[in-house]
Amino acid sequence: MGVPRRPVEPPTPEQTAFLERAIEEHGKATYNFAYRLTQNDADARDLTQDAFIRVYRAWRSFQPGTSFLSWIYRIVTNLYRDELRRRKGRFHEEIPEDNAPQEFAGERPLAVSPIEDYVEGQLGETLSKSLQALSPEQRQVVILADIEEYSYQEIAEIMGCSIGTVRSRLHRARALLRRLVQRMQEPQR
Amino acid sequence: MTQHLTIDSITDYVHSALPAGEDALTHEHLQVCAECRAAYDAEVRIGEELRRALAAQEVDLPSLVKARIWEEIRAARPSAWSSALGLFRPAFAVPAVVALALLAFFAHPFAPNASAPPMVDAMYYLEEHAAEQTQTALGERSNSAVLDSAQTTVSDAGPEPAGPLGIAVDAAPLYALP
Repeated sequence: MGVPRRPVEPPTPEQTAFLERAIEEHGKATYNFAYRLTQNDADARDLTQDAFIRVYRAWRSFQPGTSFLSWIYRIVTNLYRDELRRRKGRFHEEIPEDNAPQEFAGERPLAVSPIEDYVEGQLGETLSKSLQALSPEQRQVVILADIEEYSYQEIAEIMGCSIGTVRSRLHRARALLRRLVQRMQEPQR
Repeated sequence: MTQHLTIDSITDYVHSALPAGEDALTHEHLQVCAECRAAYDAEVRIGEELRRALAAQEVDLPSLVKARIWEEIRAARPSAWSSALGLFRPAFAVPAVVALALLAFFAHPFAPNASAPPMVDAMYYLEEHAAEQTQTALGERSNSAVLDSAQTTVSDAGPEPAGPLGIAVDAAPLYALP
């Protein structure tokens, strides 16, 4: 049994104007963020729609002077996590909370040569494909850290986790990306 | 710093996430270590290429999504009846009831500050009192001076009871006094 919904309150002109402006200014960024998370158009559309409806309902909780994008990214992240839980039945937390250094079996942890071998343009395409191979949590961290260029602290606030978790997820995601890039490049040689 | 940097610390350095002291040491090391510098360049390039590739894939928010957002919001809007019921919520109802009560109290003709408060003239009171005393001469509250005066006037004026100034008054009081 779910939590009873609050009664729907009559909309105000300010509330409607707030949503109009939010869609106008941040609709594209939100949709693209959702698309990068979900990696498919239908889910990205649903996620974006649900996120803006949340924005509409909770518009008073937005604090002027803070980043609207951070706020709506947090909403999108939460909705996406809820959706994953719903689909999987339970949410798999595969990444430890610690910030232990990554182990590289016998190899010097410097991923230089595979990346240097890429010609301009090929690497980006390979990396964007490699994103799909990451877990949803790792993908979120990479998108927020490398695409949106948020700090670890901001990512922790958006994702609702500790900075240590952000750090360890990003380290693992980066290691996976380097390996995937290397693996994708091997058949081309 | 003689040891090589770990790839994790390079990742943190690229994302400006190292503590200040460690950040300075890493920066210093990268100036002198070609191998770590190459690793750093590779990390930077991963971020740059990702941004470039994903920026090229960016699309506008589909108009259908916008339409669905507004459609959903319109569908969730309350009906006229539920809007009217909303007025009975305590936030609205309590101040409204208080305002109505105050309005009713001050607008009522018997309110203490009504525009024409009932006044009893002192002379009229004495006359009325004298008339009453005339009718109840054996009453405990009889005032001998007033009673005498009233009796004198009554005897002069005939059967009609009259006040001390000779004005005829009814035996029954005209105004109920507290």
